[in-house]
This record gives sequence, structure tokens and C-alpha cells, in this order.
Amino acid sequence: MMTKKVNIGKFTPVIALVLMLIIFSLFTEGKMLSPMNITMLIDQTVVLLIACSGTLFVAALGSVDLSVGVVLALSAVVGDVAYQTTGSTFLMVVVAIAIGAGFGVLTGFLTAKCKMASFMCTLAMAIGVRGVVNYIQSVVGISFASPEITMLQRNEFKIPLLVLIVAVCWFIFEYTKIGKRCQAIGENEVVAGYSGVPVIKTKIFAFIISGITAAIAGIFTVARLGGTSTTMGSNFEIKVLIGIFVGGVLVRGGSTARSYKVIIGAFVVMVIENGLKMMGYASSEINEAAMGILLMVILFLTITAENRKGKAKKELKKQH
Amino acid sequence: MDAILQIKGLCKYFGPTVANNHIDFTLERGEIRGLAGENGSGKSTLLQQIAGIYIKDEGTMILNGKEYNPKNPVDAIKNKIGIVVQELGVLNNLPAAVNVFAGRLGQFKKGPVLDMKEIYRQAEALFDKYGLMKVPFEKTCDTMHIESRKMVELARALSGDPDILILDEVTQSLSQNNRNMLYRLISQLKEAGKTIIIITHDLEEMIEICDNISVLRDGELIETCSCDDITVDRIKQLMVGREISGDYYRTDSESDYSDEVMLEVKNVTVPDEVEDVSFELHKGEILGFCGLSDSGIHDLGKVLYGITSYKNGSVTLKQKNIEIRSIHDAISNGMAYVPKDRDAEALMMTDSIASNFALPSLDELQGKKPYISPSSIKQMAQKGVDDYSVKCSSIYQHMDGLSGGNKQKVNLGRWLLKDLDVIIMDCPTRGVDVSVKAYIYHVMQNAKKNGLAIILISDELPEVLGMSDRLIVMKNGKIRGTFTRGENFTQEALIEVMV
Repeated sequence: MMTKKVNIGKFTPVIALVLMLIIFSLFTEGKMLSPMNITMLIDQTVVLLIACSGTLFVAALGSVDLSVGVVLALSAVVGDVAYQTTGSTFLMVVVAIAIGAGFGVLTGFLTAKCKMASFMCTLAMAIGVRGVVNYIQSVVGISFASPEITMLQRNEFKIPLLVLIVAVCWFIFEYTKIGKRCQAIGENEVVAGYSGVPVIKTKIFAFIISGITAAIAGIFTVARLGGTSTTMGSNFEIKVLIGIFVGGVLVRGGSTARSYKVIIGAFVVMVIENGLKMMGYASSEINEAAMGILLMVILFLTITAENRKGKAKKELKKQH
Repeated sequence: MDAILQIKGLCKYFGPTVANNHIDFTLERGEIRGLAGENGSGKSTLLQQIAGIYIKDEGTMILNGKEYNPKNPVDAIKNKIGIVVQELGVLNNLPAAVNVFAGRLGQFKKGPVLDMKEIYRQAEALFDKYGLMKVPFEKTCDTMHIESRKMVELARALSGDPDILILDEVTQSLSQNNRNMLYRLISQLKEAGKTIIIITHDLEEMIEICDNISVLRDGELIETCSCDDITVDRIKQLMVGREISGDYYRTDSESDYSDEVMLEVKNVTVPDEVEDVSFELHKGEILGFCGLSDSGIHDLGKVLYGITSYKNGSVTLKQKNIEIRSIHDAISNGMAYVPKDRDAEALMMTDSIASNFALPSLDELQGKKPYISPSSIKQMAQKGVDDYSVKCSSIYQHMDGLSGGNKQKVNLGRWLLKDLDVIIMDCPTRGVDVSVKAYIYHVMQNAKKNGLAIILISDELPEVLGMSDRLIVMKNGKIRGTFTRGENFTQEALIEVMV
């Protein structure tokens, strides 16, 4: 009886994704699953999926990273400045990733060493850095991306790169001690520390990965838009969080943080967004309301399933 | 006789498992009753139904001649039943005094706010009345030792002036002086005509305190007998349903270890915790530490393992000549630490058994490879579960589904699977039943034979006496005496130095 429950819990996000696809294709008379729309869907998911894969490390700690959106914007904008002044695409990529990693070190240091709550720390950063982004853009204006960067938009480059980045994150998270340590910290920081996990180092590392993937997501955003924009990455961190939690990761992180969950979660978010557009609800009022309701329902289902796993076991414990 | 509580045909189910199976249980007024049984025999479940924490599935309870059906713990308090539960039940972020009166704070209302001074005053009065060990009332519970938190819980149970007081595994968290306090409290309550139910794994203690003892096995009440004519062995036999071979401590009466020094501690001082502590730990030695509360024995464990940093003195692993300054120094050089508070400091409760086995060995599992293969974790966990006979449905079962004894087996096993030189165990048999206790002692002796140096910190005197080669008694953070197995190695001699 218990194993059955656990299995349902494990597959709830998958079931939700499939259900969403079926419902939307019924409502759109199959247009949802047309090859063209599937291509578009994947295209739209790329950026989110990259950011989610990296932010998972932070979620596993039981922390949140609300600075993903602005780090994305700042690395794209500063990277673009680097390209405009030197003409080197390579430099742009390096600068963008360095900024992402740099912010990772900073947030990591503030939360791990100075014991600031990650929620407040990254929220402050999200507000402050947005100002910096706006200032830079007011000085340099909007510019066009380098031709090499726009090539990222082509499927033969984009898809392999996406797979590579997601696979690397998956590998580090699921198959190395770094991922296990992040999960252990989320489970119980004291236990992790006493069992030999270098807590501060691991936390900083998690934020660095999150920062780097945010920067990479920034580069892909530039490729997609063909340049920088003033609204880049706004509310993006919310989407990332939703992707992670809808996939069935609990806020406490730990062992509930799994790579497959964020991949499914990212797709669920994009399927809902895309599906509502296909149904003709592009106008933001209905779109946002409907999206909110759907997300609420899926979150409820996945989290109930995840919690039930725990409860089934708690009951077992009470027998003793 | 005057029965205060009569229980008939009580049943409690958790899913397919029968936790209490048609239990008939009568409690006389003014009686002290002990409940004995292995982990999982249904003792706690029975008591928690009386205290309204669980709702019974079948059967009747009659309290003072009236039917009694508590829906929640507040009902129980109203009916003058107080409980101290086995797992810690305090609200960590609230001050101790508020915890004492939690759920009944309405009485302290002064206008729209609470009269904190009055709360502190009444808490103080309550502690005085029952002679409990004082705790800082305005401090939040998460900053306190396990022992102080137990005091808070005890005060809370007493604050309702209960007619029936239920104590579930209280003594195991207390050191000797507070145990004595509790014994005094129990006889004080008995004189006042109160009824008390006690669960403790220390059967000698139970026979000493109680009037009668009821033994439970597999959810059924096997027998209730008077303490005047029962022995520990008889209770054990009733508990497991078969004969248990007597002694589970070491049988040799001489100390026996190599001359090779593994750990050298020189003049270590941490303000308010330990003062000028020096000793040597040898290969294959079990070195016991005991003392009253605030003696610093538990703090010392954390210092040796690099959790608490020290300014003066040194802790050195002699073989490698490495000074321990951090947990990392300790672990990467073959040291291990088994904390007293298992659930909060040792195990990831909502993660699998496999993850828990793997956690201290992540470095070794990964080694020089770029990755950890899932099969190596699986192998390791399977070996751990087999070697330490952990009862579980699979290695992927979550820790919080295991009983206390099995949790502790994982806790010890996850370290002992490693290649260790020194292990520090802080109360390794806290909250485990007789058979697991015996098993842990057996494991310790095996480890000793293989040359592991063991530091055994314990609140149980029979345990340190039964297992140690040498024994250090501490008081107020200082070493007060060192005893060697075979020379004046008795409880009386220890207590004389301890107090």
C-alpha cells in the first residue's frame, strides 16, 4: 500500500504535464501538438530550463534565489557592453558568466557566512541590481546582439547546447558529492556539518552554479531577442521558482530536490503559458488569472503527494 | 481498591498494523505503575491515547467512574492528566516560561497583551514548588540543553496539577543528579496521593521506583506484576517472550588496551564549558566519561571533534600528528562523532537510509572519480543494513519510519563502515531497548578488538562502568578523577567524586 502511494507521488508532476498537454490539445483541436508549436514550446522553455537546472542547487539547500532575473539581465547587459566596445563575442560570454559567478559568490557569502536569510538577501539584490541594469541601459541604450550570439537561436546549436547544460547540471547534482551535500544541507544543516559536509563552501558553490546558469540564460535571451531589452528577466525569478516547486520540490529542499522534477516543472509552466496563448487567451488578464489557477491546482497536487509520502512513513513510526 | 482509571478492550490501529490490541488496564489511585516493553510494543501509543494525543479506535476508558474520551491534549489536561512525551515536545522559538504555560496563556492576559512578568514569576514558583532544576525562563528553548528542555516539559505537565502524571522516557535524557531530583519528585507526588505512569528502558530503575509493572509485547498487555517479587531478568523475559542470556556488558574485569596513543588532549579550555582537560586515548581502549549535568562531558565531545573551537591547549591525533581544529580535520583523519541528540544532530530524518549511510563517506565514495555511482551507494547501504541488522523495508525507506533502535544502528553503522581510528559516542544507547542496547555493546566490543579507540560519554553509570577500560569523571568542566577497570571500579566510588 505504501509503495503504491510513493510511486504516485513520484509521478504526479509527470501526470500533470501529460494531462496539461492532453487538455490543451483538446481545446486547441490538436494545434497544441503540431510540430511547429512543439518547436516553439521547446524554444520558449530553453531559457527557463537552463535557469531552473542551476537554481535547483539553491533550492536543495532549502534556500531561494530571487536574484536569478536580475543576474540574467545584468550579465546580458554588461556582456553586451563588452561586445559593443571590443567587438569580441567571446569576451561577451566570458564577462556574462563571470558576472553570474560573481553574484553567486556574493549571495553565497552573505547567506552562508553572514547568515542572512536567502529570501531577504536575494530580494534586496533583485531590487538593487535592477536599478543598476536600468542605469546602464539608460547610458548605453538598446543594442543589437553579435551575429555569433544570434546563431544560438538556430536549433542545430541551441538544442545540443541546452541538452549539454541541463545534462551537466543533472550530472553534478545527481552523481557527485556536491549535489548530495546540497541535499544534506537542506535536510538538516547541523547533521550535514557534523557528518563532514563543508557547509559554507557548499552553499557558496550552489549559489555560484545558480548565478552561472542565470548568466547563460541571459546569453540565450539576448540570442532570442536579437539584442538586449529593458524588460529582460523581469519576473523571471518567479517563473524559475514556480518551475522548481511545480515539479514537486518542497520549499525545504533536501531529498525532495531532484533534477527530473525541475525539467518537468519547467515544461509544465511553459505548456500552460503556451497553451493559453494557443487557445487565444493572449490578453494578459485572462492569461494570468488562468495561469495562476492552474499552477495552484498542480502545486496542490504535487505537494500533497510529496507530503503524503512523509505522512505514510510517520504513521509507520508511530506504531513504535 | 479505588481505581482512578479503567481501560477495557482498547485498540489502536495505524494502517494495517495493530499498535494496541484489546488492552485491559486498571490503574489504582496513588499507584506508581511502570510500563515495560521493547521499542514498538505499544507503550507510548497506550499512554498517548490516555493523554489525548491519539484518539482510540476501540474500547472504553473510565476516569474517576465517568466515561473518558479525550479529543485532544487539552481535554486531558482539563481532566487532570499530564504527560511528558518521549520525543521533545517544546516550542523551540518561545521562551521557556511561555512553553510551561503554552495553550493556557489566556490566564495571563493583561489588557490586550500578556503579562510576561507574571508568567516568569509563576514559572519560577512552579519550579520551586516541585524542586525542578532551574532553567533560564526568558531564553528560547532552542538555545537550551536537552536536559533543560525536559525540565520545561516536566513543569508544563505539572502546571495543570495533574492527578495522573505520565512520564515517557524522561530519565534517559537526565543526568544522575536530575534523576535523583525526579525520584524525589515522584515520591513527593505519591505522598500527595497522585498516580504516576512511567516508561523507562532502565528496568532496575523501574523496579526501584514503581509499585507495579505492566509488560507489553506486540501491542498486547502480557502481564501486570508487583515490584515486590519480580526481577529484571523476569521482566526482560516477559518483554521478548523468551529467555535472555544475562549479562550484556563486557565480561572481563581488567582493562585491556595497547600502549599506542591515538589521541592526545592537552590542557584544553573552552570558557564556560571545559577547563584544562588533559588525557590520552589509546588504541583499542574504551575511555568512559561521566558526570552530572553541567559537568561538561557532552561539551567535551564536541570540542574533541572540532565542532566547538578551543583557544588554549591542543587536541592531537598522535599517529598522523595532526591537530584537530575543525570537523573537517577530524573526519578526514579517521575520527567520528555520534551525537546525543540523534534526530536533530545525526540523521537526515526525511531522507532515505541509503543517503544516511552515504553522507559521512561522500569523499570516499567519490574518491578520484568525477562521479559517485549510485550502485556504490546502494552496495554500501546494503552492507550497512546487513552488517548492523537494521530492520527496514528497503534501503530507500525514510529514516523517520524506523524505530529508535534501528535509527541508532544506522547512526553507528554509517560511521563504523568507514576506516576509523577514533570514535566519540555521546550516549549511544539513549532511547533504545534492551536487545538493541546489547547489540550496540557487542558492536563496541568488536570495534575495540579491531583496535578502534572509543570515547564513551554517558549519563548511565552502569553503562560506563560496564564498558570502559578507563573512566574519567568530570565536574564543572574539570577532570575530577580517573578510574581504571579492576581498581575501585564501582558506582559508589564514582558518585563520591561526581557530586
